[in-house]
Amino acid sequence: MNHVTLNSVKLHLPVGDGSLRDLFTPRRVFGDDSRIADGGGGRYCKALDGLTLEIKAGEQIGLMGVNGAGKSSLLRVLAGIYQPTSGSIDIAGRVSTLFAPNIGMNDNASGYENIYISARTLGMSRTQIAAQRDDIIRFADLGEFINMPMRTYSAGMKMRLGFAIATAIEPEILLIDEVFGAGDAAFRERAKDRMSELMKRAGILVMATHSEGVMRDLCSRVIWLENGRLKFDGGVDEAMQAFKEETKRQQAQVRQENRRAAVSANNNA
Amino acid sequence: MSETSASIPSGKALGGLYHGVARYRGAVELGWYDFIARFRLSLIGPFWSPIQMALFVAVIVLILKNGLGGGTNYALYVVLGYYAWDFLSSALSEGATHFTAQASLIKNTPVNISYITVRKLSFLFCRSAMNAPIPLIAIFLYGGIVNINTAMLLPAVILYAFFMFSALTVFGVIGAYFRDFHHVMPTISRFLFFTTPIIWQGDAGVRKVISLYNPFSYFIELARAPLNGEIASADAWIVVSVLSLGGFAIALWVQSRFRSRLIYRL
Repeated sequence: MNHVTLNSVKLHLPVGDGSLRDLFTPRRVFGDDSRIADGGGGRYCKALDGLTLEIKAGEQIGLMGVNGAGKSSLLRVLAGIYQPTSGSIDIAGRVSTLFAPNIGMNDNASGYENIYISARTLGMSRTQIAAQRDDIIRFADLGEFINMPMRTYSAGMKMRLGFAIATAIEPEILLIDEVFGAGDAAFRERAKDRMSELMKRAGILVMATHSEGVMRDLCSRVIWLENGRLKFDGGVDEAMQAFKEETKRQQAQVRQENRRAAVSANNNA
Repeated sequence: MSETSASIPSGKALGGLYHGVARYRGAVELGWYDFIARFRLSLIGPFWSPIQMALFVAVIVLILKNGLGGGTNYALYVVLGYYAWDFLSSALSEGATHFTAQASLIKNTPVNISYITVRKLSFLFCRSAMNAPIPLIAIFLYGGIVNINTAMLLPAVILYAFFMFSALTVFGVIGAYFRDFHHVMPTISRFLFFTTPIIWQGDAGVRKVISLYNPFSYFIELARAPLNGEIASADAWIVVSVLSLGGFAIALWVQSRFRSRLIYRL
């Protein structure tokens, strides 16, 4: 049965820029709250900080959180691209990723050729591609543009092609990072159908998004990350409610800070 | 235990091997696509590559044949040597940026890094095949000999492939960790070109000493000899075999040691 289990997963990303200068960067002491720290192997960022999760077959997870909360890092850990620094991870199921819409594609090649190039890059065999090609073309719904060079495509069209390919390999676990922004409503409807096919096969979807609409359309459970830690895990409605309250609180705080700054500026003048 | 699409299905060893090899067939095909893609918007496309090579060797032969050459076969000597060098050194010059150039693929898909290396190797083979008319024309024009010894080109090319795989992997990892390496590699490559007997012959004096201690002399000899119907020396076979297979072992070690950490440097 498809499932994903994470047990106190920590992920430390090295911060160095890969130049010889790294060797001469002096050590600093950062506070415990800071996401940056200096360790034996140099400076690193605590991208995930002790995450424990259990995702069961058939669940559709929406990942939310502000920029830098750890959404993409978590997805990359699930995809096997990042190895956790500590903690354990257990994933059962064939994983497909859609982290950037046009991986391995060539802008000057047509959409038709790019189906082959991209699907081959993602590990599909020739026979699989031949069997899926018509379905990919139908789903991407690019009309005449399928035979045009990809540089003539809009962002949304590129995304549709990428999505059609990533989902064509019938993944058991589908990981998507923030690419739906460019899709129109009609496409989202078709994506929803395809997702429910995935769910019928007891597949798992984990998708990072900032859009409430996408979240409500496609997800049944929300995981909310903050500073690499789990802030909330539950249903979509509760998550949205909690998120709105949090946003209101933060906005009030910002307003208050602005007022304070204005008052002190007046006093100084 | 984690299973992702990057892992080869476990089970019978032969089945695993079959899946492994089948996966790499895709890498070989993509190498060809990469080659085509590089020239997509140009008019004569891949033909620029042999034109470039022909022009280079023509100028070298024209200018140096009386000074450095000696012997009537100088033109053939230069063309065959340069053809082999061009192929071999492409792994050195492209090595430093090998992984950094594929950052988006490595960061966004659970791709195996040896898959990327096989793809690049396939690209370099395609490029070299496109240049093949140059040595063929030279053999025809200057009376090169094609005989049974020419068959030794095949094991030579296989050893080249092992060496190039190693160079791409090892230099690719170094290049990802230390970006200064991107600027060092072209310099080293140029240095090696002039210290390897390609446009000069290691027949006497200091030239003989240099060619004796430069391992690339043996690489070039290994390909140049069969292309001219001769047998390469046993020294050449030994040096190249040791460097290629030893290098391959080092590359496999580097790959397993840095596979998970390479991504943080891209």
